[in-house]
Amino acid sequence: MTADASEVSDAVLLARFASGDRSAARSLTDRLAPRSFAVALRVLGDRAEAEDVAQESMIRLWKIAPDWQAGQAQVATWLYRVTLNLCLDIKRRHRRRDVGLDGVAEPRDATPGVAEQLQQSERQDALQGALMQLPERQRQAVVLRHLEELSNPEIAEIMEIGTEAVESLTARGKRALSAALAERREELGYCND
Amino acid sequence: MADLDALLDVTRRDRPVLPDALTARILADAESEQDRFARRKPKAAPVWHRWLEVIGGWPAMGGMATACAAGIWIGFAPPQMLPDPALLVQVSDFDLFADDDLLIALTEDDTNDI
Repeated sequence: MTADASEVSDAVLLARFASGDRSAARSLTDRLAPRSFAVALRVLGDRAEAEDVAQESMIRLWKIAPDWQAGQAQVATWLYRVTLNLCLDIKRRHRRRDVGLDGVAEPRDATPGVAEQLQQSERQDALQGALMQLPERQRQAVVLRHLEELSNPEIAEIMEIGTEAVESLTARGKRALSAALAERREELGYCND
Repeated sequence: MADLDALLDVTRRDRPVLPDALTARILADAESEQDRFARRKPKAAPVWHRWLEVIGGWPAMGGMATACAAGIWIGFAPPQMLPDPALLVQVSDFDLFADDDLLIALTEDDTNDI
């Protein structure tokens, strides 16, 4: 049998997919779709739209598989770029909306420590709300840098800008987030930590 | 900023989970695309392409072109050690079939019945 899928690169899996390997589709979906979904969710602030973007991003990956040239680019980098471009397309069609408490967070179960969980949920909602207030490019850069943990060169390649521009975007974005959350420090319970 | 870093850290670890229904749709799309690849008929290679493969590809074509060019060059400007090809083409007064024996040898039927 072939080597463990976890040891195989995305490009090799994509080539296998193009040749008809069904298991390669599953491996690629498990690896890449969550990243696309997570980025879309943070950038758009809307779960339904994020699902559409993630699905469309993966469709484009499936379609390009036979023509993919190994070594040209990282598959994940390409997918991030497609995801962000699709997010931009949606943004152009809709006006930016604020995200309420129900926008992003998963519903919490009534387990012990529910007060702490609710507070954490409120903080994450506040973060998402602050993200949605950022200019588009700052939001993308902050999400890729601080939530997806990509390096500045990787982000530069995805966003098709220089690394200095990435550093500038992430620095300004983070300052804006900090300022927005500082206004709600007491409300979010940071004074008590 | 420390509060923000801590919040980003928690948010990063709390990655949104891909809904099962979305996973199913993505895999269904993948299967559709793979079925489409399988149905795609390979394009027939043009005739000149198949001829090129028969003679040995572009390297062979290059060799033929070189030989052709060399032959033309020798024809127009032969090196000194070679006789002028033009001088080799002359009307000969030698009748190849002057000897009836040769003509008979070339045309006789090789049977013992005669």
